[in-house]
Amino acid sequence: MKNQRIIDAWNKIAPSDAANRQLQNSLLTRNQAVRKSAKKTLWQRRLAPIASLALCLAAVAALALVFANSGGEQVYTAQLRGGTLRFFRSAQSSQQTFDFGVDVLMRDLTAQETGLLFGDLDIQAEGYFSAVDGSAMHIEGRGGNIKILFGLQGNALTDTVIETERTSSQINGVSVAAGYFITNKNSRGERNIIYIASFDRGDASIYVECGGSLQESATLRMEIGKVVEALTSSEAPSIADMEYLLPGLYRSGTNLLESASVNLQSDHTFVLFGPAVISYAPHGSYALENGKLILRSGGGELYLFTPDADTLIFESGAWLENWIESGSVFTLTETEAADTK
Amino acid sequence: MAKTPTAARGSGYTDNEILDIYERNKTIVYRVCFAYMKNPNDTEDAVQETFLRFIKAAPALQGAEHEKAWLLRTASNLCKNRLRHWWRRRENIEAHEMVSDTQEIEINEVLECVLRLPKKYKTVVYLYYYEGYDSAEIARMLRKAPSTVRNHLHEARNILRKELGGDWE
Repeated sequence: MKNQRIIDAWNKIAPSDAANRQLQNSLLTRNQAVRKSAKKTLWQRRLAPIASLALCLAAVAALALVFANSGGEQVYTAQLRGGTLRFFRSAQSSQQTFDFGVDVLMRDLTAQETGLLFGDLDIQAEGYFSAVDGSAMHIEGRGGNIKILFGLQGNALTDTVIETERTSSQINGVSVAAGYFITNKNSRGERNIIYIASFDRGDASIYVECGGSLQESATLRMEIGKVVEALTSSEAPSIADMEYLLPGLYRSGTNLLESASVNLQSDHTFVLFGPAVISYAPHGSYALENGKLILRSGGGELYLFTPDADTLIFESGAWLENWIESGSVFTLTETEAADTK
Repeated sequence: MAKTPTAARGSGYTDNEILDIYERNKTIVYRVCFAYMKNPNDTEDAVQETFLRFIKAAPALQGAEHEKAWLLRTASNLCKNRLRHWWRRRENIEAHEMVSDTQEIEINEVLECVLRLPKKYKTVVYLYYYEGYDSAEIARMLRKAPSTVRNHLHEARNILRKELGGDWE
């Protein structure tokens, strides 16, 4: 029986009439705009934001050259081993369309993946992968004051656009655009500063953000400078090679006699083991399709799982469902050993 | 039960459909957002953003429960992301009183305790104790392993028992 005290407490939480009206109006306004946009052809929807962004960047780059020569607002610099990083002051932030366009699956990055993307930086990261085929689309890493985003080139990285009059600096041979934005005073009368930098490497567009109190501006600038230095001097990343499914051995329980296991290998092959009494061990190929893991054995059998980070939830499949309940969780117990060369 | 129209991606909903969906789900979405944001202003922002994302995504749905699950997952993830952003870390929300310019919300001892729970437990606790879903249903709604949901409930109950006493099933 559920606890009545929580029910009574939550009964008091509800939006006010004024909030309701405001929310309804806002939703209707947006819905009308979305329906108008939906009438455009597909290629116009896909190309318009990219085209307008390209025009915006071109205009901004032109303005930046004029601005730099006109002796306007302060330009901050960070002297790095790989070059001088210049930050131009931004105007105001705005919102842009940030939509993956497909359903996504999210999980934390493994230590190995984090190391490949961020090197020695102290970063925790999570990845967003297409539910259609499991390919990586967007990586978000955070550590201290730093936020780092990786995305496939051509895609928006964030829904906040800080309009900067900025031009590029060359850091370790990489063209880096950098700027800063100062917030209005908060409730304590304090202002914050946000430094940003963006550049392309490998198959990825990279966005770095570092923010904090305006009084710590110099420290924050050096902090983002170090990150840019590290990311531009390391090997170019490839996020297209990253996948949602983690290769390794997934086991359905701790009792080795009763549990089943499935070994997913990085070449997209699998081997499936039932409980110990079953000698049959089908093998074949696997794929992530529309959020489901499908194993197809050489004998024509299908096994269906729902992946969830480092677990696989068994749904159905040939003979296995006679031994393992639907809904059973297979947990990753051993990752596939990295190849050594 | 109200019929939920199924909209293919890209075709969108009519204004009346959007209002129906909002009316069906506004309270549950508001309560889940309030569990994270703890004040009406930020809660209203989060609720608005949740439904705006719904409008933009126009997901293909298979009924009212599927619709609710979509909105709750989105609301939870959106609130967690907002709380993780750097300028919120600087603000230290826990230290602020829960006041609103426009609306007073009565927070009793039980609700305060629930609001203090770790982020990962909040939605699960709300859906289990208030909405009456069982752990398997919650797991499907939030796309988490059932064992994860049971663990979260177990740990949340331990915290509630320790702070409030009494029997928490």
